[in-house]
Amino acid sequence: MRYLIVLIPALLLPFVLTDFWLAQVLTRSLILGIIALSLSFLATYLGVVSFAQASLAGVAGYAIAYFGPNTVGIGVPLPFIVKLPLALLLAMIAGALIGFVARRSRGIYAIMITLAIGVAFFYFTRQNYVLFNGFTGFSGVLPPALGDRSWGDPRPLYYLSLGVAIICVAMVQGFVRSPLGLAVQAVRDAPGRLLALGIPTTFPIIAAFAFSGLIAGSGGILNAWFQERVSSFSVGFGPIIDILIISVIGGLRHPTGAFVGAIVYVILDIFAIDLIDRDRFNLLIGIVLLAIVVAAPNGLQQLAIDWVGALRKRAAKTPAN
Amino acid sequence: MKNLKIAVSALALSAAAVPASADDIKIGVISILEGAFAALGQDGIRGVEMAIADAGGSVAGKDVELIVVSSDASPDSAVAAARRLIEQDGVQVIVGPLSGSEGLALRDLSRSYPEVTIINGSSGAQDTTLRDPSENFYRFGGDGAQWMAGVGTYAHDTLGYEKVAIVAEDYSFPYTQVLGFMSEFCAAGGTVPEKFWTPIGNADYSSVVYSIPQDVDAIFVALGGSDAVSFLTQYQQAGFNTPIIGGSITIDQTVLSSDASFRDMLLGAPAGTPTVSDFDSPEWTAFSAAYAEAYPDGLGAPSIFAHHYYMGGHAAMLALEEVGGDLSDGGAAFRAVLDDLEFVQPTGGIMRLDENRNGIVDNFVIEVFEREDGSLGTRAIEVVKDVNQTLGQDLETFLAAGPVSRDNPSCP
Amino acid sequence: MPVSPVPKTTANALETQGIGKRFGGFWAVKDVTFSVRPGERRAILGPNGAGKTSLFNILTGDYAASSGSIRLFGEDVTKSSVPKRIKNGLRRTYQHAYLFDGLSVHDTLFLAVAGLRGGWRQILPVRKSDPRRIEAERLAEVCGIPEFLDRMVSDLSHGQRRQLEIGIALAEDPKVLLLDEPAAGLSPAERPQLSNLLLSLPTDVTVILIEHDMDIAFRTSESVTVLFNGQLMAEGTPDEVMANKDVHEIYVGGTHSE
Repeated sequence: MRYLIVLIPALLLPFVLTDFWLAQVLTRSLILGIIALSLSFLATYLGVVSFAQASLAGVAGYAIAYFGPNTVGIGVPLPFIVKLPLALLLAMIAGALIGFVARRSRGIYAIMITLAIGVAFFYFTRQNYVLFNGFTGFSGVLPPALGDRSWGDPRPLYYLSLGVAIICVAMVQGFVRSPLGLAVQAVRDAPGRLLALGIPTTFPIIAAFAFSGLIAGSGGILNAWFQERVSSFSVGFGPIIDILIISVIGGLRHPTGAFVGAIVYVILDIFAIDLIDRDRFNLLIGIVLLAIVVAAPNGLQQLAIDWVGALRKRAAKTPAN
Repeated sequence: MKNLKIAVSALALSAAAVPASADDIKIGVISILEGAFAALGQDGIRGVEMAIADAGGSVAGKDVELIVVSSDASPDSAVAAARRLIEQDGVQVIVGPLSGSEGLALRDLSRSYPEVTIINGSSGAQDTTLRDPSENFYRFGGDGAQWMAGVGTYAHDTLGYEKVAIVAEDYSFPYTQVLGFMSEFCAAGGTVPEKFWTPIGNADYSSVVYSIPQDVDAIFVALGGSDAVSFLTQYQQAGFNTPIIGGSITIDQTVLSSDASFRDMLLGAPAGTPTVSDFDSPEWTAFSAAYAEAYPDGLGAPSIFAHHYYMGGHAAMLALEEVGGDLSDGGAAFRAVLDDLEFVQPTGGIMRLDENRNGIVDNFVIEVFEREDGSLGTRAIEVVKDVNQTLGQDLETFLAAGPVSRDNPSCP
Repeated sequence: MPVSPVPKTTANALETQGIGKRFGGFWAVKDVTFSVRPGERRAILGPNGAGKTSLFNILTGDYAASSGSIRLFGEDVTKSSVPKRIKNGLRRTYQHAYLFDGLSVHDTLFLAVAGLRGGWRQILPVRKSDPRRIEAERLAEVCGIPEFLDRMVSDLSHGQRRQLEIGIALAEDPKVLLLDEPAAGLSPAERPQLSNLLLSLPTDVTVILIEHDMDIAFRTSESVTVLFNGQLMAEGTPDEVMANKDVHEIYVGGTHSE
């Protein structure tokens, strides 16, 4: 029920906002939020911080470009109904492979392994011309037509992204209440104990990474349609760090935190240059992000929840007049 | 004034679009102001500012406001920057971007905004204007191939090189530079038996160093900044001293001033560039002096980026003046003026466009020399006038050769 | 719920023949031979470092035995994996409560009941009416913490965690239960409650119990095995063992630590 407080304005926003705010701020935030959600999911429920989520998004983005219309003359065009599940499946397989490689690693070691995978994938896309078209990547990656318009137009793409975001949040919430999701959380808390119950730990880890690949892949496809391109730049250090920042400032307590983090990050990214001297604007972004992490160690969303809680308490104490 | 700007920006943060003043003309600028290119991107901004200042800061009685947005060398960031300028700030004229992939991305984007005119900054990818050009994307400058004009001929005819190996970074700009070099060098009868493509930011060149054939007369090195330093150091330390030919961004000040052991190898090395720091012509001297006066903290001389962003900004100002600052027709009249615009470049030649809206430029062959104080510098040894995008070839033939890649062109 | 066939054999529930575990040159457990009847309640006593928990680890398969053999209902499981022994009905609890702090009591017991069987449906959220959830509720009742079903494990008291450990071990038809000091760290008030829980365990379940608390051990067990320095020192009814001079010397009179 309380979701309606967010959902109804989200549905009405396209009627009051300019295309710029709709596309460049909200849609971009939703897409980055979906990819960051895949990281928050792993961090919260498996207890593993993965730096390879931008790569998983990239796998699906590249797949949708390779199997669809593009302007670089590479790839095998497939019908939409085939290429969409195929792209998501490839992202899940990539996720499962990363999970398999990182299955015995926790903490800093998992970070190092996934970072290595992310960076290796980045360099691979730069060097490989047959599948990834090297440095330049794919352009002209258009979403399917919507009647005589396109899914890529600001309003349709916004609603599409919103819908995918809601589905992804619901999927995460459903998954963590499933037997497999419970096993994933059990691996996080006490892997040895899970083994003593006769439940293997490798399978839940791989499944969690595959599931995160599905979410990151959904975001990656939307991102390719939003940018109308995908290239080595989409999976480089920049996106890897962006996703991490968004997850951290949004907070890991609840899946929707990733979206709070994303919108703050996007607004900062777009407008910081207006607020301060243009050779120093990244400093401002850095300071604000640092301040958020210090002031809200559990993320902005948790901070807001704490504030609302405190206000309610105070209201309850104040006698009604 | 600054406070007002902050207040206005804060308003933009909290709610809607910045209210546009009807009397101002807004020009958006996209440059790279973060990461490794930040210093160069900043120099590009100086170039546009000089162009505005040349016109007294206004056209047809209207103030010109520059809105600067940063990209990060990625096509996605350039597109986001352009969309922000167009949709949020309402600009109809954009000068930028800086790098090749960004240029291609903005060329694609420009089709979605026919009322907006994008004037390239310094990006040098060939296909931005050569193949599938866009009606409202202009480049008052050359591409990476044009920037090598004269070098291939000089290497073959004057220096007598017959066989040259190539070491270059593995992306579109070096491909284009290699094309510019090879189209002349191969036509003059030279051969390129082998090319080595290395990733950007590579640190270990040992496998390349020992694979370069021993019988080549020279190596054409199209690597940027620290990559060039790494390669040259490792090549020299391996005991080789084959002469070097440089690309447009290979032999820059960082390479020249590093007191590495490869300096002897560099003496007399030729390279191609549209911008020479110490070039003795009245126009360039005046341009350099204006730059030094306006930016005492700037670089020692205007860089290729200040030079090219200046030309973009200058073209915009000239055309705006011509149409009285009126872009209300979606910029149609403005672009009609740009199409036929001619002006004197800072290097002295006449800038004009071909039918694809790409500049016909003057290019320099430069060489490394030792100054009296022992430091290394570059000096112009030849100016090639009127270099067009097809390097003097017939357009059909040129296009038929196909887009540049690792394997194209080839003359083993 | 999958039911493993009840062994139709008159064999002992658990039987070891000369098992031992060596770490380098040190035998943590050495040449231990003992057997437990189906349904028997057996306490294992011994001072700290006597090798009691190591013995458990060998029995469960967490440690590979360095010597000897283990039979579970007549079947040789010496070389079997941990999951295989679990499948055969062997369960254990841990000396230090080792639980899923981020799950609720209900989810923890559910996981113990359900495992990960049932194919692709394991990715779907569990329905409220799921029989495995009902079974988890029953287990919470058996182990005495039904009112804490929805509580996070991290919020349980030490005693409640102990009870939950036993609840987990009871999931899915256990046949042999190895309880490693279930009363460790409990307050005097909590101890009787635990004794009652142990007494109320289904009588067809064989229970082997490591316990320092003599009251609990003697109250709940019909036979006692005493380990000392990794070796079997005495075996018999509580009275017999208490009468054993050596046991009295090393355990009750001497180094008994509380």
